[in-house]
Amino acid sequence: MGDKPRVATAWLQGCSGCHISFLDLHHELLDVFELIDLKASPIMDIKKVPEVDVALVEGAVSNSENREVLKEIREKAKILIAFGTCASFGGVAGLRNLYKMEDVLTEAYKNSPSVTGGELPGSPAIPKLLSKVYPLHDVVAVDYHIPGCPPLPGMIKEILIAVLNGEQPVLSNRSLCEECGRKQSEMLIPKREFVTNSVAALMELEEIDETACFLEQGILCMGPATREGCHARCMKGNVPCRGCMGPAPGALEQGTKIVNALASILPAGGLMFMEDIVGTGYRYSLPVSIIPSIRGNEADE
Amino acid sequence: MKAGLFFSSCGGMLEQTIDLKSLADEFASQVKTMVVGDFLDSKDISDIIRVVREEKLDAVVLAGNSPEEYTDSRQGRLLVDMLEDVGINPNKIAYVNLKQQVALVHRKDPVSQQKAVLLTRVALARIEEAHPVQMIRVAPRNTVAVLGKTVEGWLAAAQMLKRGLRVYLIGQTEEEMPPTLAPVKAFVELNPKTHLMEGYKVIDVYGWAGDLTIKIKSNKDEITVDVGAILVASNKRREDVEELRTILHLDTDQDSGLLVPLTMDSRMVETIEEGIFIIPNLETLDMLMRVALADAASLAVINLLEQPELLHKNLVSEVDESKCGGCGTCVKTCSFQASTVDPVRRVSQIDLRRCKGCGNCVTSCPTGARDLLTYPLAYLLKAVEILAEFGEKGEPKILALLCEGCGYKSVDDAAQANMEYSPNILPLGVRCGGAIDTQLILEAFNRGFDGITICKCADGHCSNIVGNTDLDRRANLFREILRSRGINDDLLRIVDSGGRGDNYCVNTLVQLFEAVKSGEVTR
Repeated sequence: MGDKPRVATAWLQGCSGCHISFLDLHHELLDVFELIDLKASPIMDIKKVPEVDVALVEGAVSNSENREVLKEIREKAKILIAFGTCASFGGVAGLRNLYKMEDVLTEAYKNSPSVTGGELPGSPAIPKLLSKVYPLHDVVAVDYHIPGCPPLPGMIKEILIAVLNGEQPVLSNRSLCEECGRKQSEMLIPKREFVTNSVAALMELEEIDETACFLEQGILCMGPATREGCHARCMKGNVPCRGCMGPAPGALEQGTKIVNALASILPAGGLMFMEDIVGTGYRYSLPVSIIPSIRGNEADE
Repeated sequence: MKAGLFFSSCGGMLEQTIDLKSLADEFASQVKTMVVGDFLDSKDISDIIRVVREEKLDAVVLAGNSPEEYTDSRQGRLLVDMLEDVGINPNKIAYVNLKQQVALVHRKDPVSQQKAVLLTRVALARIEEAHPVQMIRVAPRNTVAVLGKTVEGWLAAAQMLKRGLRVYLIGQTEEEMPPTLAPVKAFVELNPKTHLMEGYKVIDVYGWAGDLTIKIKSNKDEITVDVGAILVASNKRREDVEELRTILHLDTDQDSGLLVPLTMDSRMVETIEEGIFIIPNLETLDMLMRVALADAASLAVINLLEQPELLHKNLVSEVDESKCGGCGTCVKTCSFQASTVDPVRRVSQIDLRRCKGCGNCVTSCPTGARDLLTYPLAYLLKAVEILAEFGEKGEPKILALLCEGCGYKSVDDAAQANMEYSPNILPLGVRCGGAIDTQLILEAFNRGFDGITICKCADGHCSNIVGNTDLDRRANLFREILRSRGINDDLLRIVDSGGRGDNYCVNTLVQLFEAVKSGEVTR
């Protein structure tokens, strides 16, 4: 027992989905526990992280507590892995960076339809909300990333074992189109024409072809601007990619890159009318954008 | 890499504004530096070449004239050609436009020196980041296609036949020959090396100088012809050249819609496409002038095709296959049909003979698998970072992204016309409007630019056909991204450069600067 690498997991601003995905390894968890000595984790009773070899941290940094906990884990862990999309790119909750912090607080505590006579929290016992959501690597040095919302159980296992063996975990640099497997036809014809005349929302269509490229059906899909590695689970469920694996490493960010690409694939008028370009392009990765927040959200000290 | 940085005082013109000696000193610890009198002077040229040889330099920055001046005049490229001859890769030669972008436009401004330093650093970043271009050796075909059975077409065909070239004369209609020139037509018709292609029109052209492929079509059939050069001899009516422009990728005049030459004075039968020549449309076209132009054009073709070997610079974009997901975006973006996805390997590939290196696919590629050899994204990002250092904190700064086909020239012209403007307008040349990645625009705002003006070609005038259209489409969607960050999207302005001899481009830059400075447009 004493010889096994010591591992801890923790979550910050997340939904625990990454941990659930870890548990989804089911019987394979036993293989993992053969190799590691899990010292602390939200899924067991010890939550305070001791000195460890490897720490997996789920969730983004959104408040002062997240930040404090993360810094402590960084000090105690030899290797720190950003576990999942929130930890790597800020995740869905990072979309609050589109608003000023005061507006976010007012909306949540005062204006929300479920609130009457609400007040902004002022108690010193409550962690202070940071002006914006940060990925882990904005706060501390991160050694590896496991992207995905949530990451595939197998991917978690593979990367963890590689790191334990002192190997460099391998992630693809390509986009999701490579593993999607849907049939492309218009997209591959070297002719300057939009692949379809109209842009449609998913629920508008009576039927969605389960085998054809979503873009060719006029459905906005983030696949081209998203890193592969998720085994195209959504597409197999007949849902277009929403971009949770984050940008491909050759791109600086996701939102502008999908705009650049879509301009020659789908009619811009339809896109502007039908889609929330910002929300779609940055759904999971706004905090790693070139400009990660609305102006006026001062840097947190 | 061992770089040399050469400064020219442009015949003393620069030194009134810029202290070239101290500018050279600034870089002396990093690279070999030298100040000469004039890059177009034979003595200075041979001095530079001597230093390049002695010091065994493999990269050169020429700080002085606008790069346009090397292409705009006959033999203007002499220094550049000689540098290439001694083994400097074309992509390892960069220019600092001290004359038109600093000396002539901010004459008395004390910050001119700082601006000169930054522009020099941008050029050094370019030779650092640009990937070497591959040189393709071409043995030119001794065949020429003459498009248009016009007076000039027949005359030029005759001259070229006399020099032993094979001539394809292609045209659907025929201009009547004046009686005195009737024998010319007879000579061409009877020559065994003439191919009269009745009723055919050109539908596709690709390749490069010395080795071009033309597809022509009639009611009956479709034929492929391989030639060394093309001469467009019918350039008088808008409808004749409208279709041809997009097939040949040439520049047209904004008003007349007719094909324009490289320059209206010393290079008036040449075009932006090496190997494709035109008869320019002049105001007065009497018979004397028409004969002279036909002779000039045939001489230009003969000069090209009689060379034993031509060097073609392969400026195409690159594909990093490890990053390509085979999505097909580049296929839909390219207007030259140069992009395809390999059906087996599922990665994007480029047809070298079709690619113009315009950079539109680089912009559209959602994974960053493509890059331009000449203007890699890493260079553009560095350039923006360097230029953003200009001036005092809080002072408004405008980035001018200039299409090298139009905006760059337009800003040069304003300088030539003695138009001065604020040094806080910082120019950066780019390959084409279509090569402007919205990532770069966002990065410029991130680096502290208050406003950005893009000078691109007007509708129907982009030599890459759709670069300007795609820029507009992208910008329309991108404005939403700017607004989402609380950035006024009026701070991004896109203007038609209006071709040469028009200050519209600079005026728009100045307007945006003034509007930001006065607070009329909120930052």
